[in-house]
Amino acid sequence: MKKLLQSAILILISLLFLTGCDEVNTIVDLIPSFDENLPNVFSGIYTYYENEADFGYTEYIEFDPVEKTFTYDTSEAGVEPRNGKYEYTYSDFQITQCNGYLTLNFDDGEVITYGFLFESTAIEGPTRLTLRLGGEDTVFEFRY
Amino acid sequence: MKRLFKFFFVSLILLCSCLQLFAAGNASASSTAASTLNPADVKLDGVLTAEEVNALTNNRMSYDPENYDYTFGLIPPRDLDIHFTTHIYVETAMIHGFPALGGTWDIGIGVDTVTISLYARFLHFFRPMGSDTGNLYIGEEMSEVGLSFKVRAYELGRFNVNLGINTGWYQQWLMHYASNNTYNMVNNGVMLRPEASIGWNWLGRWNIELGFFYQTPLYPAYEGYQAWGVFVKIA
Repeated sequence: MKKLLQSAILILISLLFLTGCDEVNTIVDLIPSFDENLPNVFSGIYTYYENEADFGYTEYIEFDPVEKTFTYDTSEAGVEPRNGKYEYTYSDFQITQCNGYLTLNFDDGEVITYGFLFESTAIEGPTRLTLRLGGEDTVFEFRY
Repeated sequence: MKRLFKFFFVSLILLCSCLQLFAAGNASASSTAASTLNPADVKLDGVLTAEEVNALTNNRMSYDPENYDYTFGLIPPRDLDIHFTTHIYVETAMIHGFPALGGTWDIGIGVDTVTISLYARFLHFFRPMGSDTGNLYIGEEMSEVGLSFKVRAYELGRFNVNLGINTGWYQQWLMHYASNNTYNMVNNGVMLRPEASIGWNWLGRWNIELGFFYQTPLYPAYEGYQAWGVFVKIA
């Protein structure tokens, strides 16, 4: 019993020392966390080309899934890229295809809510993001 | 977490109800069996029949060898073989066209040939959603907790045949390529898993079973996890 107690105290003290090591924190960071919410599929760069013969994009959106921020740009001359935060709700979520509403909150105060359709395959990953505003669809393609 | 707790609570109540019903059934069966032994049939020549020996062993009557006298006393209910059980399974199932590997731990009560247990199951997918490109999901796991009913249907020497059905709440966890080391729950629901196995009693203590199962998410239906699988169980 005494030996058991001694061992337990020794292990406890060793663990206390170990918690101060960066290596331990690295290992702890590797342990995944579990979230009951659906995954955020808005990630990466999507581009829309009005004319396929064009070399440059017509519209461009880049999503940062960690900060939930975006950058929006158009090919219009003299127009600066705009940044902001985005929110989304899913109406229907299938693993490779989902739809719902995407709200872009621009830093300048403008707010636009789109209906969206996200399409992907398990092997190729995201393929297309269709944004619908006022009955008009804009199909963005995922850029690797 | 709340749902999980609720599920366990309901399962526990069900388990207790089933055991009470089973115990009541066995007790009445024992009394019926005991009343079939007629004192008039007992031979007084000192040679006991197998049935008399059995009755003596079970304290259903006492015997005075000097007076060759048999006395029937109070007949206690036959002892039920109620025992604590726990098993560890290693299993593999073909899901998304590729084998996934996992294990199960269960803990429960065995009453004669019937076993009722609570189980926790975990399955790891080497190819999330059947793909190893990592372009959409880079990790997939399945967890499940539930209630298991099993019957030892046939026994011959060291070998036994077991039939069972597991029903539980499963969760599909997927890690999106852009998520920060986080698994998100995508599908979850009621899983039904009938199983059959052949067991071999090893050294009179361990029962090693080799079996197969078919799992299907019942509600809401999800075809992705409908699969055949095999398992090795040590009990």
